[in-house]
Amino acid sequence: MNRASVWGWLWQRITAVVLILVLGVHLYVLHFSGEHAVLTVAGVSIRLRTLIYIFVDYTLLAVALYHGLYGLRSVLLDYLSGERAARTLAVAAWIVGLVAFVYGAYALLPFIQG
Amino acid sequence: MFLYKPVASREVRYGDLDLWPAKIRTGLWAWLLHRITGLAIILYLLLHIGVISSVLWGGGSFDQLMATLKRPWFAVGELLLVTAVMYHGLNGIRIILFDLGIGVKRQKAMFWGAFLLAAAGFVVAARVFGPLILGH
Repeated sequence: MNRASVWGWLWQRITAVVLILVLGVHLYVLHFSGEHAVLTVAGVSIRLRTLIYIFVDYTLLAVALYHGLYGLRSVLLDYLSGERAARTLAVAAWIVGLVAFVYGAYALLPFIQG
Repeated sequence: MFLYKPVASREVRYGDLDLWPAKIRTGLWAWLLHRITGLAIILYLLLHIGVISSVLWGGGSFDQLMATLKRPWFAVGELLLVTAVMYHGLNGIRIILFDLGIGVKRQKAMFWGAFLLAAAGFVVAARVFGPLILGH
């Protein structure tokens, strides 16, 4: 195992632990804290008026995309082999991840601006 | 990377993996479920971003789409997804513990622990999503 894959492995564990906490908060707030959250722009805006939820949502977006796309890359690498496939998949995952993050981050702005 | 994969078994050797191995043991069930739930969750995440971004076409389109997604069959999907997330997280804790050298010899018991906790989570989630599924 080379150095890059040790770091990839470690980051997958770090993001896993962060996700258990942050996704736990996300699911609890939206589904388990009594009634279902009101899923309208007005309802979500009330939640995203608080700095902590803005932080939770952006952290979740970044960390979940990283963990999910790294995982998808690992799954695909079980069926593909070679240094070239690994590099191509890594580049593809970063492009998809960054585009999805920027797009998702932009889509949250209307809620924050209320 | 997958310390809990039964490396030594004759049916499945590391680096010689089939899409569906011939003989599935406890550790492989854990691994397969982890993989299937993981794939479902990343697919959902990308859809989730797409759905939320409907707000960019005006607040009305977001509210309308969210009302549509409250329909029973979508609630069934959400219930299954929340259960998948709970299993993936619990089995993920199991994997991290193995990486730290904890509990490797008890991997079967730990799989059943993760599975039963996720099943209990399903029951709790079913009570939450039940009314939506039944259309109340």
